[in-house]
Amino acid sequence: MDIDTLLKKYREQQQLTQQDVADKLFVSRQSVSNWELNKNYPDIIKLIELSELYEVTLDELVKGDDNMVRHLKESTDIVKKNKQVIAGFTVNMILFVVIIIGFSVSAELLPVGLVVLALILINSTIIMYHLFKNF
Amino acid sequence: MISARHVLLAVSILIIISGSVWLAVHVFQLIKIDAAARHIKHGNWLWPLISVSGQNSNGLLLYFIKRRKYPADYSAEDKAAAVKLKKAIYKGLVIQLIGGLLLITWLYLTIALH
Repeated sequence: MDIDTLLKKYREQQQLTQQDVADKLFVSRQSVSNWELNKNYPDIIKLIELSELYEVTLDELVKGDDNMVRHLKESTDIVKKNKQVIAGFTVNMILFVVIIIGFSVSAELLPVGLVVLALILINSTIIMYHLFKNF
Repeated sequence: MISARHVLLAVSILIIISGSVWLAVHVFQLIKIDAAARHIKHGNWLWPLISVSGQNSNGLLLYFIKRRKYPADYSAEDKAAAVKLKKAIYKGLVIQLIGGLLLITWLYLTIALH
């Protein structure tokens, strides 16, 4: 059985509403709804909290859903995540060098410099998103 | 004479600055809560300040390296506040992203019109 079906089944067994679960787990009701509609997956910490709340084991929640297992494997792959952040930093460093070289060649490259700065800003935004994703 | 391009440039810079201030305020508060929950020394002002300073999120990365040795001990109130702040930070990131994209649009228009 897939995790979305199980989550709904166990919640109803405990006679809880989606709002009750959301309040206990400090997430939005929409998040709980998304988990039960298979639009999104809970992370490993939320899964542990859900298993405690529904009084079932993690095995009972996770086993049998290959997509969920794949999601957990990807979301807990720290090495891959660190590589993404390091790649983001490297790109930003290269963009800084481009700006410095650009201005040393010609001061007329100001508009291009502004765009490179905008790209650095966008890249920093993505890096920050990655850093805060699993805060 | 002020053209539409000048307005676009001013608006995009304004959005970027607003997004940055918004982010700095909320990141500061979140790191303050997180550092307190982990009982990190100087977590009340120094680490939040380091986290919001520096280009390229360097300070934040330093904090993430520092906090690895300190397990979190969140109270229910702090956890709820942290979730709210995290959402606010995502909003700030979206604001910055919009500002950055507008700035690129401005350059595109500048090049296209010359």
